[in-house]
Amino acid sequence: MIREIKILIAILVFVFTSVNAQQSRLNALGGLSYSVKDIDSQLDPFDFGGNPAWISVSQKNQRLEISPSVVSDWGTYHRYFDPDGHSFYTASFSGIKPLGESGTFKGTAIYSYFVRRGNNRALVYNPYSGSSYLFTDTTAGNFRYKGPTFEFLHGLKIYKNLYFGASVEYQIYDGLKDVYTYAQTLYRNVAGKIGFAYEVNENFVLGFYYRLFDSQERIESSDVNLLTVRTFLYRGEKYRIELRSSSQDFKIKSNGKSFNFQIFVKPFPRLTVGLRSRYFVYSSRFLFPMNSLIDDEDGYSSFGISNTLLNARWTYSPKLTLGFSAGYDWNNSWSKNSKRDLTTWKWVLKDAHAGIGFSYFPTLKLMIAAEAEAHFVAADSNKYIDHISNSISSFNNVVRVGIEYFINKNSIVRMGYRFNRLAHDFVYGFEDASAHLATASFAYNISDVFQIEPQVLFSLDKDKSNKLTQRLGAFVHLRFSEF
Amino acid sequence: MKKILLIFFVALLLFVSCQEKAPVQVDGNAKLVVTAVWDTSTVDSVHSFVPLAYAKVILSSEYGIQIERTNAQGIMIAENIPSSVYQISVRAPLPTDSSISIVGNVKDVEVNSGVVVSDTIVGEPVSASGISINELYVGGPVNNIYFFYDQFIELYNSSDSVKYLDGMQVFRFSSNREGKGPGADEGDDGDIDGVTYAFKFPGKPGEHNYPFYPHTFKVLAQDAYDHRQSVPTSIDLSHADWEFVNQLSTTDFDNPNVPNLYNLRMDRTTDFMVNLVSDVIVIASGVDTVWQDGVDISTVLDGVEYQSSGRFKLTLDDRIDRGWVQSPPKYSGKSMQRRQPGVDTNDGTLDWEIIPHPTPGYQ
Repeated sequence: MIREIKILIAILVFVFTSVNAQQSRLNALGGLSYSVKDIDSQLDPFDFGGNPAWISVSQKNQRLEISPSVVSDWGTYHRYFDPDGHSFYTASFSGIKPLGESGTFKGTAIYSYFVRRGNNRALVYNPYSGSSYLFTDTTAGNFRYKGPTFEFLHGLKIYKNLYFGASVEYQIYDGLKDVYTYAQTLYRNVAGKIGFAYEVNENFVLGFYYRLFDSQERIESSDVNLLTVRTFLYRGEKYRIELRSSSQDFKIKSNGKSFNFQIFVKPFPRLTVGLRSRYFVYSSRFLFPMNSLIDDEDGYSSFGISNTLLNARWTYSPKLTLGFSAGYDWNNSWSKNSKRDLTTWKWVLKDAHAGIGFSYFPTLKLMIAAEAEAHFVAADSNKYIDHISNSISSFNNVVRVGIEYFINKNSIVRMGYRFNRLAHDFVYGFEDASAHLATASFAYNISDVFQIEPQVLFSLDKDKSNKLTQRLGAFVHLRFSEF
Repeated sequence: MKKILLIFFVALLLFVSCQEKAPVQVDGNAKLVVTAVWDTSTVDSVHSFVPLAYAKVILSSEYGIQIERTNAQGIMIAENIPSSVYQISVRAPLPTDSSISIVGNVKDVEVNSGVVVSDTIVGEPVSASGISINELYVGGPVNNIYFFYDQFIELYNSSDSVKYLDGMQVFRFSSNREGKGPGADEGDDGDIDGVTYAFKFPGKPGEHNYPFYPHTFKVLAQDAYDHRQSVPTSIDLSHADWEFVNQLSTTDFDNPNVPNLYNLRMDRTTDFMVNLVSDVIVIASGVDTVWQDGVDISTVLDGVEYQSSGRFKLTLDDRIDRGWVQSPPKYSGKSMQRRQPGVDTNDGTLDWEIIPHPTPGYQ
């Protein structure tokens, strides 16, 4: 359906997601978040707000988590330029080290190797970026990417109740398509954050951080068999220009910034309310390199995204915790033909949601938790160059359920289930869709400082026309509480 | 508390205004109105412009080719098209003689969004003029062993009379790159320069040994061989009408059942091989036998320059052809052919098209 609207999640994951390797317990519980108390889901500026300034308050204990994983998916529930399936092989290392008066340090390193099997024509890392511009060739084949991601984060108290933190992220992937046009890509992303948090009093904290990012993707199609390379630059859904030569270079440069605010209030001791609001603005330029210094800009896209999320957690009793979540997201984008200064696409996507949940300990050994959310999503798009306009709205629902059972002092079993009911899937464009995710893990304390938790997941996405994609994943989490 | 929240939201609103504004003008909002007429005075003593009803209109731009039709009043309206520079060609059969085409071309029409661009194209009858190059199959079949030896040139006699091939020459122009380029009139002395290969039919111009009958094709094969035996995706040229054979080569294949064109350049020992995606091919009457100083334009019967993209400038003299022909990719098995046999408006860009498979000896 609407290509630009299918991309919201991709944008959020691709461009703005901070490196986050430590969510394994919540992931094993089907992705529960605001209704479960966890070291990784605290309603504070660091966990909830992503503010590096608060890490020294949020994370008091050192820990190291090493997580190798394998995830594979396959099926037909995908878009035209998507691959038939993926295989992800990842090893992540994430450690947090309190440094006393010097604050707290967090370091994360992830090495990823992934294959997009049967990648259809698209040569760019993220074909559904929301821009009208897309660079393709004419074949479907495997596209292999590999490379590391690093994040280094440090936060400390700098004055009385004022905290400061900063982080840098660096990611580099190289990719290779294994059939004509044998495209090679080099994707590089650099980002940095600086943040402040001010503890007005023990019941009221304010936070702010600023994030800058810059990414570049360079694609070079140069056929090893000396064939003419035939590529296309789409300027919309229908209109594209054909490019033919012995080799073809293409470049996407993106940069932007985000402003992030957080407020945390404890109106009374057992209720914590967190509000975070972010505004991102970034742009992408679509370029033909003329030489090492000069690029010829063919297209330009501008993005504005704001997210506001309010989460509340009420500890009703030692056994029962209630959670509440409400949020509003607004995404706006336009693209233009740079040479003629004409708008090609413009779209707006709005998502309002509310959800409630609980976690309950009927016994000391058992926790049961559930969350339910309703989303109202509306999208308006104008593909001027294609002469296509759309306006769509949809009610989508999410339910998450998780169970955690302490077999003995060293063994924990976790299971989770998530169900999404989508009247319209704004990511993939399908109608009357549903998504099921089941997770299970077994955590075992090998010693007082070392825990191992193997985890599996299975998911199934389908729509009313029986387009179906399945995903199977296996993870092993090795947790060290001293290192 | 309220004050802080107020400041928070005011600050947020300020930041919301950070995103740049989109250009006011949008793409895909252009309108092109083409009125196609033809001047009857070219076939009649009465001078009047008559609408070309239901004529084919070919709109060519960076986005490719779009085919439209005029209405009964000879008007074609293309709405909601993207802004671009368009090449427009109108073609229709002459109402009184369908063997004659009325053709009109307009080049480099700037069509901008939000603007209605109107243009009138006056078509002229393109009558049977003689021998022209009708098809060029040069890119090779689908293969991965760099096989391209099934190249051929197809000629067409669009006249109503028998023509004779005696002494006719076939040239490839690819040198003179330090000057104006291959096929250009270097020194403005009335000839085109940069001959790389020169082959000729047997005999001399004016002799009548090798007839070329009206409205028929002649296939000039690089090698008159059933190339499917080498590459299954190739074609059978064993029944070609003519074959290029370099008599100075000891290895050039020669089908004894097919008559030969022979090499005129004594310093060349290769077959008549042309570039797979970019070259200049010219046929000449053969009257100018001293090709070393350039081929006289007055003797040129037809010429074609094909290129893989429009990034290279046209080098063939515009008295021979004013537009380059888009070539298909190498080893794609595709061919280049005139849209209509014999219809040569001296603008290859609009006269030619890429076809999915070669058609030796037929359209």
